[in-house]
Amino acid sequence: MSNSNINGWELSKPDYRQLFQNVPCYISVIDRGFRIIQTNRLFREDFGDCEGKLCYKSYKRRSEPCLECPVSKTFADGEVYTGEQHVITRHGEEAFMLVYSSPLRNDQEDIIAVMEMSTNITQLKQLQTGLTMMGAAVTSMAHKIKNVLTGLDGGIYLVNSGLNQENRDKTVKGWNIVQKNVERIETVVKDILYCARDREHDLTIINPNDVIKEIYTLFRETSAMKEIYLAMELDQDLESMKSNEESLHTIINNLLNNAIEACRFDLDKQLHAVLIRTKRKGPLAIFEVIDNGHGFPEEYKDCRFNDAVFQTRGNYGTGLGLMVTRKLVHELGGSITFSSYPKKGSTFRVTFPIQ
Amino acid sequence: MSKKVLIVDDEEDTRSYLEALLSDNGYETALAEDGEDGYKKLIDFKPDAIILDIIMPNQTGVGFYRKLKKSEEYQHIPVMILTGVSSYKDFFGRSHLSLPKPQQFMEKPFSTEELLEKIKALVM
Repeated sequence: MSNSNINGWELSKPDYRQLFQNVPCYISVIDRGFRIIQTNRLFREDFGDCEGKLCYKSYKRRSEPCLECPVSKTFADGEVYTGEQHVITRHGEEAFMLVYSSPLRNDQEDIIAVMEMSTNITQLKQLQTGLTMMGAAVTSMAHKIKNVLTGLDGGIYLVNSGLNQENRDKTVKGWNIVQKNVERIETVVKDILYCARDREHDLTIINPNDVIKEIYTLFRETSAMKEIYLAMELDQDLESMKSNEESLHTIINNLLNNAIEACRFDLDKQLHAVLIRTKRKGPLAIFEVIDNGHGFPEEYKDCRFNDAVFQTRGNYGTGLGLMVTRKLVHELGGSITFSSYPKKGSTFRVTFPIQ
Repeated sequence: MSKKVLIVDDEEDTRSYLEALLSDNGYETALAEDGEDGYKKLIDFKPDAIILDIIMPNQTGVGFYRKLKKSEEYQHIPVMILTGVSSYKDFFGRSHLSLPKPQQFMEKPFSTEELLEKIKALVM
């Protein structure tokens, strides 16, 4: 490309081609049948050679066109549309893209194709998700701390009242309440400190299905008492993986507790069930906890990103359980995603490399 | 004759606290650990007022309240919502629930003086 051409804004076809290939964002050109006609260099680097393939299958791994597809909308009315989309690179990594679609027209002004320009906003989404999670955790924690403070107030009242009335039993009861709530505060502080620090885990070869069986045994009776049917499905091909047994136990334990809470607080259905499932998928070990509880609010639905967002309910734990879970998963080299539909239920999925 | 207050809260410490506080101030109390238990106690105890938490297992405070307000026999009993949830008013403000507003709201942790004043107003 020559300087005189740029100054005079008279770029030749090869110049435009060079621009197309080297622009630092992903560009694909898509026809009305959702087939990819052309891609630029950055696109090919991260998504491979997709020309001739259906866009929603090749890098979105969908069996049908995306809901709210900006390409469809642009074909419909010729306008520029924008949207956020979840994609999978050729290395299997999940990413979030900010997508712009704009029409490409022939000399008769007919739309012959749509250009999709995308920017990777994965880090921004991670930050957004992290902040949302923190907000949800703080809200939940605040609720629990209020109960602890009320408990402390109550214990102190009982001690004072017992002393005034010379009622030893009342005084002892009050003191026990004070002690118990001081322990609860300690637990909250420990969870906060845990979330604030990074740590390394001793990794050994474990049988993940044995961990799930143990958790299932622990929870079977209590979930039956709450009239929640608990089931497990274990993939026998997943008989070993490199991990930390205690941490994996904590992760699944936390997810299961939350699934049970989601069922308990679902007033709309009579029958509730929770399924714990393990799957081996190539080099990956996948753990799923699926419930038909109340699901998450509309704004969190269908979040398939690497970070999980949700709110704990009820008086279980300190409100930080899921932040601890997410942290543990990441420290063990895994990822956690979820999908949820209001009033229908949720699926939490934790994925680890087997080695 | 002592006025009767039913306390519905899944936190044992809160129940103990309210029981001691109200008993020391001349009230008779009954305790329930969730909405389901609360409704059974309601029928036996026939309280003059109810102190009701929101977030509870086995029927939340909203579920209990809805059932109470649909009952011709018990809908007149005044209710104080006592909860740690800051947005508790949202539960009762939602139009799809079509619930009448409870007589009193209080947030945990609470002042004993304020609670006693409000209970006194409820049972009068």
